[in-house]
Amino acid sequence: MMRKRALVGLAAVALLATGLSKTVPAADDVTIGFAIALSGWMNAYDGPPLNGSKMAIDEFNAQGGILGKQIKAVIADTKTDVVEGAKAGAEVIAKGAQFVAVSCDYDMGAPAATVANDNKIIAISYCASDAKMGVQGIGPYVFSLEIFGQGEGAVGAAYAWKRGWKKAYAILDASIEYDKSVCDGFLEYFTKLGGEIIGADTFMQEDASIASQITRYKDAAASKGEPEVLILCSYIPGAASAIRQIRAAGINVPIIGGDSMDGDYWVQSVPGLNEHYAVTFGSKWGDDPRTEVNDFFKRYREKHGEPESSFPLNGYSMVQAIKIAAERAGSLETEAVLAELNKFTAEPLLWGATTFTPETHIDLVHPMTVVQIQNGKGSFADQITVSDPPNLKLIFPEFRADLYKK
Amino acid sequence: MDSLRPTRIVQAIWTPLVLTVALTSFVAVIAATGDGVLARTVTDALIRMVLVIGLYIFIGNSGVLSFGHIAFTMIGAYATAWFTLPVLRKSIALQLPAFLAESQLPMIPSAIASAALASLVALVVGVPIMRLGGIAASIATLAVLGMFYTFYTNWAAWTMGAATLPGIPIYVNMWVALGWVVVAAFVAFAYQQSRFGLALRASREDEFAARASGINIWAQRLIAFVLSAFFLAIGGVLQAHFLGSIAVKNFWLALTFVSVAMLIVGGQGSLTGAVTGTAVVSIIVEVLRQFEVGIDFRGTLIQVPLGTRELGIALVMLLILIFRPRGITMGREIQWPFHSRQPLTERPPRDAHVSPISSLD
Amino acid sequence: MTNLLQVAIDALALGSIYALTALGIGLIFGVMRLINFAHGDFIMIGGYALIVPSWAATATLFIGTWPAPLLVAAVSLVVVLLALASERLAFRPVRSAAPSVLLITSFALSYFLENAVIMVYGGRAKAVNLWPGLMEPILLAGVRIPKLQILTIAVTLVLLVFLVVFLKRTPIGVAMRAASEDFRMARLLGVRANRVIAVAFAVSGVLAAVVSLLLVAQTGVLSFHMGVPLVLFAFVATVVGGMGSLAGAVLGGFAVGIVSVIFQVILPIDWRPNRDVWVYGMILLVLLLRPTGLVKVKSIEERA
Repeated sequence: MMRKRALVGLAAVALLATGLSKTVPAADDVTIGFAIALSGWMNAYDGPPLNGSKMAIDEFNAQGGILGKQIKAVIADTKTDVVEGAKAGAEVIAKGAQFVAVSCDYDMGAPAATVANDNKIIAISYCASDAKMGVQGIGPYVFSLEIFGQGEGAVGAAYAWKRGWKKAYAILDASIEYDKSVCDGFLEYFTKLGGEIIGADTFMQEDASIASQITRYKDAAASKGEPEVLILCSYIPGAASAIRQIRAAGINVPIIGGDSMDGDYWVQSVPGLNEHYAVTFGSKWGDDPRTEVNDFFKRYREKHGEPESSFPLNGYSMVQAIKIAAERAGSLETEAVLAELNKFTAEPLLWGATTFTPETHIDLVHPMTVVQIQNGKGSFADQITVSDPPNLKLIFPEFRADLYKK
Repeated sequence: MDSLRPTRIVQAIWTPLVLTVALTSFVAVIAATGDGVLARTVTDALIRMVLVIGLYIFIGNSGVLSFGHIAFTMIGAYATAWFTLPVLRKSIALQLPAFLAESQLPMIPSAIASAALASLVALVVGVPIMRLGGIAASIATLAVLGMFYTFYTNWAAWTMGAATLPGIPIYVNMWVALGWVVVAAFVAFAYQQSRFGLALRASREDEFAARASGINIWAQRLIAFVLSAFFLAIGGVLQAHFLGSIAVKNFWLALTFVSVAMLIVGGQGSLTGAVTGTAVVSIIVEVLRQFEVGIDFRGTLIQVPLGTRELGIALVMLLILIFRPRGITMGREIQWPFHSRQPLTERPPRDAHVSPISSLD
Repeated sequence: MTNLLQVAIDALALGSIYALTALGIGLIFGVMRLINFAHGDFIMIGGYALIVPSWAATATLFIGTWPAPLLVAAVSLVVVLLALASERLAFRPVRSAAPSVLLITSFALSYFLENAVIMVYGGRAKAVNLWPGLMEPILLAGVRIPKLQILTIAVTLVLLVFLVVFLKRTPIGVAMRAASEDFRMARLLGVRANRVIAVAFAVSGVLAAVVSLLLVAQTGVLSFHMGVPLVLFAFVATVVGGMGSLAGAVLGGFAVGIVSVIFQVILPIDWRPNRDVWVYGMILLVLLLRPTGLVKVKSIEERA
């Protein structure tokens, strides 16, 4: 019986705590909820865009807000956990969020986006590259400010082709879906352009060593000729560790990766890294051909210090998209804003021209930036738009199985 | 019959009854506040409770630590997705054989079928593994989890591989989860009072004596393993229909450790321990979470730095283990308070037929 | 042929890392029947000791810039102190509890250490460049092999020899072996439990420090989670090798590393992501055929 009393007591404390923490937003504000990772590994990808969003909110508020209303942010931590993610979504909505920003990843962002969608509230993921972050996967209120993963891979293939690299080798980190999408897109588009895939291999993010993958690569190079480009579909930290081991084995082939390899915070892993390319949203090094991007990073540096990657662009664009759609609709009503978002056609957001349709809530064609690391230093390399993107069918497994059989 | 007298029945099922009443009133209070976020937290905790009771059925009664049980949770979660995803969505996301692809089961039959599937898998893997004892058995179950985890991560046609599988119908709320906790508690209690449960508990106390008195430990462990897999799978089913999406990576070490830790903290030897452990750990987590978010106390915001919650929960668990190594309940059940006789739970049944529990089922 | 040599070295190098980790776990299991899951976090903290604590995205090396002997000593010292503190504060109070409680205590400790590291260093993985010279390959019988792989194998062999000498020739080592055989009897015969256990933790700390340096030199990254996959396989290795036997732990570690490399090599690409299914399958098979592990220790009977 003692125990029961203790339980009730603890429950009362919990209740009291929740009751006290309630805050009700003023009706003349626009509230954007951020259900994103403030802690855990996802924070590495969510933190920079959150800073971007905060900058957008401050700048827009100084200019009068959205439809004359000041923008207010409410933030809840998903702790890089799916159950917590759903809770964080519910929490920001309970605190009055009219729009919700969710994590930069489909798996991590989906729970909060699902909660928002069920409440008929627009949710925008910072940079989930999975086409399921949208109408088909979650529902009509969910968007992602990202090119779909296969499209990212296709841009990599287009860049390789443009550089005259015709023989590719693929190494896939099979531990997450994003990596598979990028490699799928690359392989499909590269073959379509006429390139040759001389071999493919897989590893796992947490493998302590990729020595046997390197051995296999060398075998392929010995029997079929040196590959001219290596597509490495992985993310930090596994990717950095793989590149360190690849370069150490004397393999100096150009390496292409997706936006998970953007930035230069990881290059210390690979001393004097050369010939590394990442397909991403922009160059943070001040040499992007778009002046608004360079200006943005200048303002960013003043406020938040050196950006890790170009992801803050998406955070800024997220608030920008809401502002543009709401002002066009002349209302903050969800359905009205949604209708305007669905009409976006090459909308010039900070991260690039964005197109949504009622069916497609992720960009299929998007001007992407290729950034490079040479001598351990990052810089802009090229800007590429693939206008005939890979088939959306690539999302489905039966199709994919054939790709690797080559 | 004497055993059918109401007080006898109440006395016989006293432990799960008290737990049910306590949990139901708690859920009713939470429901009355109308706080959606808190309701989610409670639902999540109740789902964990189903898992921990499931774990208790095997670990608590056999004394063999299992690290592989979350495999059954994963099997249950994916099975219910195969059974209940809308047909159109299934055809887009998965390549299932026709009998699955073209049908959609109602929720309760799906839950039962999914859990039965997990039990079947438990039976198949249990037959060889239950021959092992002690740490070898624990590692063998871990290897089973490792195999299923890796396999599901790459079984794209059925699981979408490493990707999150979305669109599972959402119907689980506090009351549904509570319902399953109650079912699990009563079944676990009935089992531990049954001939089988007692035989297994005897083997836990003294393996050699149990063997000498003719108990087939392998068979008894196998029964508990299969029953326990059923409720672990139910936990997975609930999780799937609570979040609406599932991903293989959520059925790995973190969930394994959290659920086993909840059981050990509560006291692995009793059903009350399983329930208390889950409740106490969940409440501490929630209170710490509130402090992280920040509590407005008469105008001053009391806030602790991010990460305090994880450190706090680890610390509290360490302290409980250090000061009460046998868990909060020390393996005891809530006891019938009205007379001084030996509590039922520690008394061997005189006869299976007059045993109060058997008259109930 | 050269290919075969390359694969053999790959397998031995990975096996060495697992073996050293398994040895650290096996030592502690021997003296107190504790499977120390937090051993992975000792390895992780050994890595983090190299850099200046901060939330910054790019890491600044601190101890990492010191000359090698000093660096090894400093990292070992940090990990040994951590291991001793863990023993004193977390494990000693529960020493007489059931093995499951000991194990859960080590999980709780592991969770605590990981989150403490996240609090101090942030959750983001950090890039570090430790001993880049070791990454240069050397030519051996027509095969280019990174120096680090050779070093890893060599260090493992040297440490094994040292450990054998320590256990056979020093009084504390003999006491430790006696305690592994029969702890109660050893105590009755005057072996001081606290001292033996503390020394075992210290030695496992040194092993963890060595593994963390080899690992960081290889991968070039630090993450709060880096010890977990290692310790998981090492944990399995100690059981497969034969719980309580140090030779078994080493053997199990090599076996798991070698099996894992072999499957990576022989499986066709469609199956390769399923490599670990095979590795775990092998483990299961060994356990079913030899429940006591590859090396059987007669006296090991689990304390209830």
